[in-house]
Amino acid sequence: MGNVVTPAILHALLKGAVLSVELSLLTYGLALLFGLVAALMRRSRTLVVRGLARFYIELFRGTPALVQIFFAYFATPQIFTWLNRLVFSPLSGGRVLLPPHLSPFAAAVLALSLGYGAYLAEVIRAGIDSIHKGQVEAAASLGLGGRDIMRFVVIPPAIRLMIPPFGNYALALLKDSSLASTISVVELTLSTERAISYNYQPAMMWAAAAVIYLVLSMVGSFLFSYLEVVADPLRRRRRKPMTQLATTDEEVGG
Amino acid sequence: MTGEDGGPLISLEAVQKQFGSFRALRGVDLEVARGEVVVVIGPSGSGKSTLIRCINGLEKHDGGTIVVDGIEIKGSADLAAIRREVGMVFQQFNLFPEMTVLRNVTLAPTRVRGATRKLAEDIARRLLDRVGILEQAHKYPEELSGGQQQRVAIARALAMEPKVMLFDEPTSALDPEMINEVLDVMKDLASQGMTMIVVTHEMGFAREVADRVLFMDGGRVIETGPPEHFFHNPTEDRTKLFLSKILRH
Repeated sequence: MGNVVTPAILHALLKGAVLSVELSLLTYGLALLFGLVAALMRRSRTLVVRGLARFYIELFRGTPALVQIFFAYFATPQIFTWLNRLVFSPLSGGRVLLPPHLSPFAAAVLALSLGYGAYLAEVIRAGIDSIHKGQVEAAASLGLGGRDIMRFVVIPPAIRLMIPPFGNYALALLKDSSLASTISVVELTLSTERAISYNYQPAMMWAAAAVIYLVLSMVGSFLFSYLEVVADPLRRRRRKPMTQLATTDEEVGG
Repeated sequence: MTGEDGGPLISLEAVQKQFGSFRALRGVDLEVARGEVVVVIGPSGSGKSTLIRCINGLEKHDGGTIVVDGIEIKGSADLAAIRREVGMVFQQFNLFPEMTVLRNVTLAPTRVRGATRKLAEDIARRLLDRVGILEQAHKYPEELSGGQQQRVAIARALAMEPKVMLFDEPTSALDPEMINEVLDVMKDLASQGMTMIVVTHEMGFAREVADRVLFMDGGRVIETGPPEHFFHNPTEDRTKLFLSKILRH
């Protein structure tokens, strides 16, 4: 048992964990963007735009993340070749615009962010739809325009409602980032596998990997709990009585 | 500005509104003079709420004309102009839950009228004082009672300095002990000359404050008149039937 946990193995695991976090953060950011665009498209007045959004959401919610990752990594070289030959090359006078393939990391980010974007689109849509119609009517009757109604009346309470499901999907994504190991992204899961091939300690190493995922999840979980407090005006005030009192006094004085 | 010459502030002619196959308004005519308080009563589904919701364009009428302060409601540009002049108070208060009471009142003046925050807050404090809740200015709506929330909603509408106030069953969602604090604010408004259209079931308020009572049923105005006539000598059978049902105890 002398060389079970060498500095090199520890280093490899931590490097893997860092890559898992990077992959998850980048993917989640893009997923929020895709989700927002798809949610707005679903509220469009144009049938085609709504239909496109619906198609995207159903396609990505209805297929396994692993299939999406394999498609992004193994199918894109073939598709890129066709596109280069049939579309981009004739249009640009013989230049090849698309790369021969995506890097494993890029393919994982692309597939997971599109997949999670589909889920987040539904969270965003549900959040916006859940705002009481009466508040929108009250704002309209005060003469506020559509943009102001969105900005001041609809979005702030909608975001408050979206935070818990946003948190759920963030944790699910962190765990699904392990699927990237299948296309040779050396994140935490793959670095664990490789470490085991050096020290032959699967029980300990998989337990270690699980603990690292758990710790990362708990950090995420606390972060979203904190966001919930920040987004709730009443709870925010109870947690921070001093700062709130200070601003209150200032406003009364001014 | 045709509305400035002593003509009616609000004038409705043959206004129609249909929801699917249900005809909510079947040709309503109504003129409201400056400073007049009109109380609209009638059974549920009679079109009372739809009527006042058409006046600020929350419902789009399907036929007839609606003119408010010389502006006819046609396109969305007219609607924006009219909504600046018409305040509305809802049954469910509809305060903005993410904002303090003070911000609820200052939002529209700063965003729509372009008032500075300072000016808007001065106005808001004066109005909150007038409706008796200045000390709650920094609380959030959910910390207030229903009666207090409704008074904030009145202050919020008044902050736009409307020429007319519409009230859509303002006390129907309140616990009984809170009804009077809201009605008192409305009486005070009426006594200061505000033009008001009030949909309500509060017959005491109608008797005491209304210049004119309007009875609606089935999307039509059945009978209208000053309260003393209306409650003591109604001419229409449907009015008598309705009054006998609600005034029995």
